[in-house]
Amino acid sequence: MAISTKIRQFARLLDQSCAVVWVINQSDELTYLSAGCADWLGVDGDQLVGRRSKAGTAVSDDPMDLIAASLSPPPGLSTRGTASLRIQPPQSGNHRGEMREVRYLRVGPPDLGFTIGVAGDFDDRRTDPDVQNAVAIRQRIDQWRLQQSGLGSVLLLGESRFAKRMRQRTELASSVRTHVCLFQSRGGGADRLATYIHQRSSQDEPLIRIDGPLMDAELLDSALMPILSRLSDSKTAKASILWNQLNQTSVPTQQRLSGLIDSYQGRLRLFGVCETSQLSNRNRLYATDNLVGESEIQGEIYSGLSDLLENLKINCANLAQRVEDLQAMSFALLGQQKVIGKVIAERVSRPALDAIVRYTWPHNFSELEDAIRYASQNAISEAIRVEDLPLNVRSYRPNSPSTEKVIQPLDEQIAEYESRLIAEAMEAAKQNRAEAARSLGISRSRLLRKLENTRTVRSSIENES
Amino acid sequence: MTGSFINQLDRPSKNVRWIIQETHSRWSNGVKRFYRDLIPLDFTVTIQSVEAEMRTKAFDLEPQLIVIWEVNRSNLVATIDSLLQIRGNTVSRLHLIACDQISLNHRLSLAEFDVSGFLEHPEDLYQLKPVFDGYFARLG
Repeated sequence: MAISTKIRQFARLLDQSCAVVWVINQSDELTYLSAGCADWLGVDGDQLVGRRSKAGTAVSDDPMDLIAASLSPPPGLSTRGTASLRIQPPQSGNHRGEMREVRYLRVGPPDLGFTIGVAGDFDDRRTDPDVQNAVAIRQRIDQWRLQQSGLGSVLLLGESRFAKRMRQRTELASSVRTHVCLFQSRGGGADRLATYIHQRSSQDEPLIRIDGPLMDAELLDSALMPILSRLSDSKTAKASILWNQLNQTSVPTQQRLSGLIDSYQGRLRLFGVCETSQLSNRNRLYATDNLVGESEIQGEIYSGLSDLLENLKINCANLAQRVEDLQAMSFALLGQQKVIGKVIAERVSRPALDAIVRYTWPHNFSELEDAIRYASQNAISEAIRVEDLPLNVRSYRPNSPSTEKVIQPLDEQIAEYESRLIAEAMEAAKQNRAEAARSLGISRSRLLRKLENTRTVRSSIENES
Repeated sequence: MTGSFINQLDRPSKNVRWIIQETHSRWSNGVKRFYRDLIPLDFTVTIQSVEAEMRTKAFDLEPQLIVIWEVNRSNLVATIDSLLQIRGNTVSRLHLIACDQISLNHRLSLAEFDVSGFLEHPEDLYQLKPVFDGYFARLG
């Protein structure tokens, strides 16, 4: 079969399919236009053959030249090989073709190559759903980390010696990739600070959060499986673990964790968060001064982990100790609220600041964060007022007896509970002591003794009063 | 009489809502099968299966909450959004991810948002008993 015959078949196929295809030769002239081009452009293809079709060159006023120029590929096609454009051909008489997606393909050697243009509906720009998913997840992780590390940076604000010390330690932890031990009282914000350090020192690494008291040695491998498999797959991969309440984690679990960290030789980084209120008084004293050493934390933190965490320790001091930092932290938290949502308040009024300073913040940073969020949502003017603060903060008075919880001795509580049960049983038995004793599962004489004791206690209380 | 009175003394005093976000009833059936082995005697549990669009509404004002999120590739991002949305006021909430079709990378992504455990099959609930023990010990 002759070559010309093959070309004829190809041309027939193109014409039958109504495909919009054109070819531009090495001299940038149109050499072929399929029948579909005539429908789209509104002119016969023969009128365009031989006309120049090159981007960036001068074009005469001839409408045919204008149409031919509109089919030209973008500059640089010869180096890229392919290009995409959206083309709307110029008006030809009463006809104006619709805007269409065009793909250009450069084929052949540079000196003899030619360009094929194809107009149609293409779906090749649509992103793969898995890629879209991955991008969306990455965005959320980044957003979440930024939010958390932003809060961590708020924790470092202020001029108190605690704030200065935390800043120094955090700076050091961010500059080297090492295990970090963070001490905090409940709600101290250590996890935010750990995220801040992670974000600054190794943000490309995955970070997995583990709730220490909920973790079991047998579950640990399963919980860490995603990062362990990544570390095993690649010798250069790194990952971090943010372990909350490390000192509340069972020792076998800590031993297993220590073994895993050892086995990956520095590629698995640990942020261990210890709650100092759960340490002994002596430990808490040392932790407050950031002097916790091996002897102080052993017993609650496995020695293997203790050795790892020895390098760098950061103490998230209680807010009660950082009174002078509260103003800066409150303003910064309010600023974060403004970034996140629609908040009217611009500042914290002096009376509200007084209330914030007066309060003891037993739940520390997380409580301050909640209080500022609450107040900023309640604020109706540009300054947060005392009334906007949560009730417990605005109503707190340092010597108010109502805030001091009186703990009743255990024996008194038990006696009170017992007499209440007996009274209920008596009432249920319509004051029939034998029946009440049966329902309580005790002898009648024992019930009588207890009733007598209850009467004695009551009369003595009445006499005292 | 004695029995009823003793029963009153022993009556559970705490309630935990257990929400299962799922498309069918696979995970709620699993929870109903295993919850007795996972929850201490002094706790009661309310099990509720919710549709995806209802989930965050159901979580409002529920301080003690266990949530099982059935996650697949199509709802992964929405699940992360929900986790982020309700995490802000979380006090005593336990989040578990039920997934048997997502990659390790996706699991790794979810693990960044305080997820306490992953379930591939309903029977895995029993393997997470230490997690439940720790959670209820924390609730007291």
